[in-house]
Amino acid sequence: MSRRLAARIRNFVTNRRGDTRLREEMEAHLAMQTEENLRAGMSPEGARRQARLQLGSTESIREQYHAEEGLPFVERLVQDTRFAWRILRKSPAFTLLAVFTLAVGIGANTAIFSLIDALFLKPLPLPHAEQLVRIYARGPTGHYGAGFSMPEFENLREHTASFSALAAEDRIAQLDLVTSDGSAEVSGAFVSGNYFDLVGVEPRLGRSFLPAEDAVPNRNAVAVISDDLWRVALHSDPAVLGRPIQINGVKFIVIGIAPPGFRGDLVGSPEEVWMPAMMLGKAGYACGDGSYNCSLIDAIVGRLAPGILAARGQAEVSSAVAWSAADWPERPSRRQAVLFPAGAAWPDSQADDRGQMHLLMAITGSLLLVACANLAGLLLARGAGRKTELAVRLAIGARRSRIVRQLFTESMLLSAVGGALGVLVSFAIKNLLSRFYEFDSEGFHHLYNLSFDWRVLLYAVALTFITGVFFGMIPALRASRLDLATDLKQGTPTARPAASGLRHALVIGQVALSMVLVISTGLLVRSSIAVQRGTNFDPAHVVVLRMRPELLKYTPQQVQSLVVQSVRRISGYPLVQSVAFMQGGEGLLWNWQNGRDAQVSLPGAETNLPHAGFSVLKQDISANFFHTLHTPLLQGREFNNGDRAYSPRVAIVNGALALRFWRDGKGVGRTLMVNGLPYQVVGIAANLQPGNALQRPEPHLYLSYWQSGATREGDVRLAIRVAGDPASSIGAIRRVIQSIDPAVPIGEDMPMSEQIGLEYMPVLLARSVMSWCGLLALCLGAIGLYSVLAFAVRSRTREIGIRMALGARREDVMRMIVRQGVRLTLAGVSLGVAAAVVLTRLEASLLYGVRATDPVIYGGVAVLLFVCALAACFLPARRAARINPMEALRSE
Amino acid sequence: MKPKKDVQQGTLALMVLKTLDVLGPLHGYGIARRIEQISGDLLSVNQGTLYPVLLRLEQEGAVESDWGPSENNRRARFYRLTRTGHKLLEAEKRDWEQTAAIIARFFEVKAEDLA
Repeated sequence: MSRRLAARIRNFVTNRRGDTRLREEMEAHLAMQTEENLRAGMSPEGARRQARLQLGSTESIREQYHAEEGLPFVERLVQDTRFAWRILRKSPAFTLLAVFTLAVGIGANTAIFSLIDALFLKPLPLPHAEQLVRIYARGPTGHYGAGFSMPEFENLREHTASFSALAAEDRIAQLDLVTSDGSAEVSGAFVSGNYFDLVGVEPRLGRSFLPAEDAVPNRNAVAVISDDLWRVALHSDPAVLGRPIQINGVKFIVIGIAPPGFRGDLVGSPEEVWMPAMMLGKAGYACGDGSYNCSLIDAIVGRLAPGILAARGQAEVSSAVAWSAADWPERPSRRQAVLFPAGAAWPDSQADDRGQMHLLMAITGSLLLVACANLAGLLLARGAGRKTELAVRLAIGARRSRIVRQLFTESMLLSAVGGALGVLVSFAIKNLLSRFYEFDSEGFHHLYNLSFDWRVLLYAVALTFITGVFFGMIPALRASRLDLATDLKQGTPTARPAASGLRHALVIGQVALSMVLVISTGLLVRSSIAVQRGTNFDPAHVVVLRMRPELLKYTPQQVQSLVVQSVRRISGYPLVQSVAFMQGGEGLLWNWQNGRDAQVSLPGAETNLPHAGFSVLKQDISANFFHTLHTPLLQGREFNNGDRAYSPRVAIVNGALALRFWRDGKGVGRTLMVNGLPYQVVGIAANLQPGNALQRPEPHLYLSYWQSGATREGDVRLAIRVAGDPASSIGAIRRVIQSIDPAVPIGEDMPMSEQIGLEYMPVLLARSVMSWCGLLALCLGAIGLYSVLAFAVRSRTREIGIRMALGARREDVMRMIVRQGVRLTLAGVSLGVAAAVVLTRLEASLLYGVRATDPVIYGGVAVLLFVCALAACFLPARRAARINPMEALRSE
Repeated sequence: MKPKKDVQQGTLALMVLKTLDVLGPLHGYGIARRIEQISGDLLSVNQGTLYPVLLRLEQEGAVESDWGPSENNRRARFYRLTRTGHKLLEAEKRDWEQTAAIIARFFEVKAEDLA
């Protein structure tokens, strides 16, 4: 069998044909038979004729012979493809439209998959990356940042056998690096001494850590730096080995430079510098004595022993952590150790990313679905137009399966060309999308490996194939159900009820899906406008900036003096209108998860359970804060320079908090207990954070920076309102601060509107993708409608001619066509509205300042669709009206 | 004229193999003649259909072929059974005899035999 296949493939490849051989054999055969017949007494003429009859049809023999010879399947495929190519080239408009539609549809989906690949699937470029795992501590709130203490880590290392190695890791997003070029923020990690051996990375210059360098706390200030940092900050100076760099005010000796491309093992968060975990204290991150209570290690990197599965490692880690918790009974741990395969981002952001990816896939998937429905409709119409051709082919002996295969080859060819272009399109889309992931709202750089790999290729190929099957199947099968007798007779195509029903269903589906996409676009556009405009603040002309004096081990007094001087000097700068600052936060407006909340209650209510009070987000702000942001005060005043540490304690609440305590929302002059101390409410500010469709604005408490009693640790964030372009004044503002202390780390310096865009990246990303997909879907829907109507007019020419001959006026004919279009649109729009009500819930978390069922948007989009539908009706209706009854009737 | 039976593809291949086994190397025309003679003209072989079968057998390695002079000095392609062909013939023959024997037994059965 295999020998035969080999012979066939050889024949096929070398294109060798036994034509000559067969011809010669048959000639010899005929000659011998003729002689034989002559001998039997026939006439020479009769003998030759008889011999031919006995041999049989030479054509059919040759065909059978060839069928045995080469690879008939492949040959037919080549034949079909060539034919399909000719057919497609004959209608370039259709072909271009189809290929363009497919390229965009497949390209968009492939681009989203590239993101998914980079975020979740791509293994780290490290040896045996499949063995690498990361172990996180999940705290009682469900977040994965609870961390491990040093004793816990050592415990784990001693009592597990599933791992060939474990290394502790404490990632610090911002370290203060001072080089001869000035100070800069870099990301880095404090790691166990075996880290580089574990991940399998050999420095390109120098060496990695020695075991002894991670044995004694605060003794060995050594560092390995990334290739990138070496090139950019240290100008590729090979003499840097053995010399110190200053990190957080400590001089670390550079002992090695990591190979190019190695940026740590956490996807998306590149690291620039690695130091021994024993140096955490010296660099300013120790809490107390490194006891069980000090959970500084935020992840443990592990390499599974060969042959050990992740599940086994997980089981062992769980029991070991439980064991270690029992060893320190004074601190019953509610944390769980959870093991994740390496090659992904932090688990908390993985969950966010996953939601985002689901939405994006749904969007681009819908677009592809619209495209498929559109193409299926177009092919059905074409198929009906080609009935005569197909009927002729059937009549002269083509088998129905051959016809189906031929039509299928056409759609597959379209799909393949579209898919190939789609891969190119996906590169462009991918680059656009990746910009959304470059920085976060705190100015940290993120890095993902978006390179094209076999997974993406496989996805694109599979998608191309499925798409081809999807839109090619129905038209091909339908075309094979030809009725020879009627279809041969009829020169012009007629719409059979069943076929047009299917086409109508496809159009209704397209209109409905594009309706959903356009409504979603409308909602997201409204949402992103609301987000970017700001709710009760005006981000235009505001610069934000973060200072981290605590990295320089400033005393609280030094921090205060830095802040006061910065505000004074920046205020004196021309173009600056107003300056304010706050302490802490994550970005200027957000203060989520860092525990800077406060317990508030009404005086005397402490005993009155269950209304004893609750925890709210608290921000410590300066005078002029709301003035700088242009935030209206609903009542009272904001802090001023009279609110000092020694003056009466005052507080400002936002509208949401005021409503929680006082039914009328008016609380100025009343007293509020904050962490057990009385504060007088002097002002009520409008809610700054917009609520999305899922959550209402949260209650916020503002205390004066000078009275809050908080330690002066943490970031200080400045908000500076300038006249003119905020971006161009950032450099000057930085220089003003550096004139006070050139070493102060400054980051997150950007226009506030940019920061908001980065914070609400999911909204803006979804808006961008959705807008393009919505626009394309709208166009496709219109094209689909147009093609159905145009086809209906063409196939009803005779009928329309008769109607006109019987007295129908042109307006009547036009109205008839338009009515058909409007009926289809109406069905699609109603279906679309119903689907949108259900489906827009998927994006509810992204909808700020607009409800998922906003009637204005729904109505507006419905009108828009009708306008497009009418435009699509116009040409076919006009053509119908121009039908000349005499010609139409004669054309029979 | 009696209606003639069509020859099934597999059967034809078996006949070709057996013919070559008995008569030694033969050209296509010779094989066709022999089959007609042996079957007593009961089978109508569309003589040409022999050639695709011969090609397949050759690709399977059951026969070899080469050009040679025919009885009256014509150039003809001669087919010869190979070792593989012998084995194939034996196997096919066994199969065929088995099938034939089973069928024959079914025809001999009378109602009382089964009682």
